[in-house]
Amino acid sequence: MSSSSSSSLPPCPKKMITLKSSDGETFQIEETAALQSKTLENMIDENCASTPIPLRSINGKILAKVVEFCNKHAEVGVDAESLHAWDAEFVNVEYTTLFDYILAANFLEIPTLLDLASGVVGDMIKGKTPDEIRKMFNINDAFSPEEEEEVRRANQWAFE
Amino acid sequence: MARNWADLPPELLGRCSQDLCPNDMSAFRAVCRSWRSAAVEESSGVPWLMLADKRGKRCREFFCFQCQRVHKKFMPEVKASIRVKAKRCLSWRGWVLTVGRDWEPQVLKNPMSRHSHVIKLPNLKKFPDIKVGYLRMYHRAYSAFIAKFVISDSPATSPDYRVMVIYNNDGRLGLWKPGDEEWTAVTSPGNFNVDVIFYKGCFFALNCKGSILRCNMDGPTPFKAQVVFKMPRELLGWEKTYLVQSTMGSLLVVSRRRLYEPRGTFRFRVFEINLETQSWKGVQTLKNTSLFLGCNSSFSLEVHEKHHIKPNCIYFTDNSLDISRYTKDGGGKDMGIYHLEDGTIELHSRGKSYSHYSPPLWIEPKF
Repeated sequence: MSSSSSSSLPPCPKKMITLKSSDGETFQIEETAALQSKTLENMIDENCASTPIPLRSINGKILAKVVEFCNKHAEVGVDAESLHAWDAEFVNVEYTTLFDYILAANFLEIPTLLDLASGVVGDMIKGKTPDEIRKMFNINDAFSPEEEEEVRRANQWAFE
Repeated sequence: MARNWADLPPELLGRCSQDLCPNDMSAFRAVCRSWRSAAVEESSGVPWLMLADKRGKRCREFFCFQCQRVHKKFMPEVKASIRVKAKRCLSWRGWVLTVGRDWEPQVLKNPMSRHSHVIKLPNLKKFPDIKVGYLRMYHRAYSAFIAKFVISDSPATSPDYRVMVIYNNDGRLGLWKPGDEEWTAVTSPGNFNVDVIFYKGCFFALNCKGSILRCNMDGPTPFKAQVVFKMPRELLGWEKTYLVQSTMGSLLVVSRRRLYEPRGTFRFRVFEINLETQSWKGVQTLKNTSLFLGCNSSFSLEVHEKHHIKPNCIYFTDNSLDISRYTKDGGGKDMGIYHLEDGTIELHSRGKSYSHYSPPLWIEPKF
């Protein structure tokens, strides 16, 4: 058999895997894009990805966005600047969505998404007082009076 | 569905806080219990620039390179008063030494840190062989009397720390340890020491002749500093020189060439010293590190782009207080970023920050 016969074979079909969200929605994602998630990569390596993978902690709305993120970051020929702009738009969302991104990125082990989302949270904290941060993120957990005093002493930042 | 940010797992909260500057980090800590325990303790090492004093203000301003903003910190100890007109400040690894017209020096804990800690040092009169008349006669003498101070270990964590200073106009070495009521002399051949560093467990001094001296603290007093290495004098000329420890742990001698105003500093050279083999070599590149030099604290830092510090550069502050305190505006003009690659200089400070007594200083977060 001559080696030239291999060139006439049809191109290898793109390997797809199926993800299932907590609310039962299913999403198709190319294997190459899914490899950005270490969790999914492990499942693929262990041949556990032939049936739909149930992701019980991620709802359909967030999973759709995560798939979109992975697809964008798997695209070939995207220059760094436009990807940066795309990322900035991607995380320009409400705090609750950002919260879900962080948990989803952590569960699926997607370091690029985790860095992006946690970096945005860090940026939002910059220059704010503890009160402003509490209001922004709707945090109501109070300190005990002793802790309050310790925090106050540690925070002797004066504003003239 | 409500999401409780206080319930985010600690490792994820830590990730959100990892790039915050010390100021934002302290706000982060003060948000709630879980954020407090999740906050990253490790500091990035990015320094602040303590800006010049403003008469009568009890707050000092600090420019933070990491977040590119100015932070204010309550520091009543450095405030000038009617009796103590203005205080001279020096920094070492973030700790600040102040001395005023009362001749009572004190060391203040790092302004970036979260707790206050003041160490009172003996009066300037308590240096050996000092003529009190000299201090009295020149009313500004106190501001240049201590040219440099170095602490061996962090006083916050090690009770056995030592404080070494270069004092008097002939560059003598003096030592103080907790409990001492006077300064102890460390005799050095010829005096005129220009820099001192705590390196690998010992104090090392550099004198104006380019000799490096090791201070021996084990023998009887007065302690002695002995020459352990000589840089070729013709190599350094009369340039201002510094001792710096590189991020790799080697000892560097850095020379700084400056002209009088308005030109100021225009060249730096870096030499790596090997005390064991008694050899030196010129350093052409600092790679991904940069040096910070100036009025007192000298250090090296590994650079990350996100911290707004450029690699292979020397960040310098004005180090000519002996001259500039007699000029109209004072010190603080001769500052910038020197690019070792091509010898160009750019500005790093924003706006003017001049002072006759306390021009801008580097404040390191660690220690």
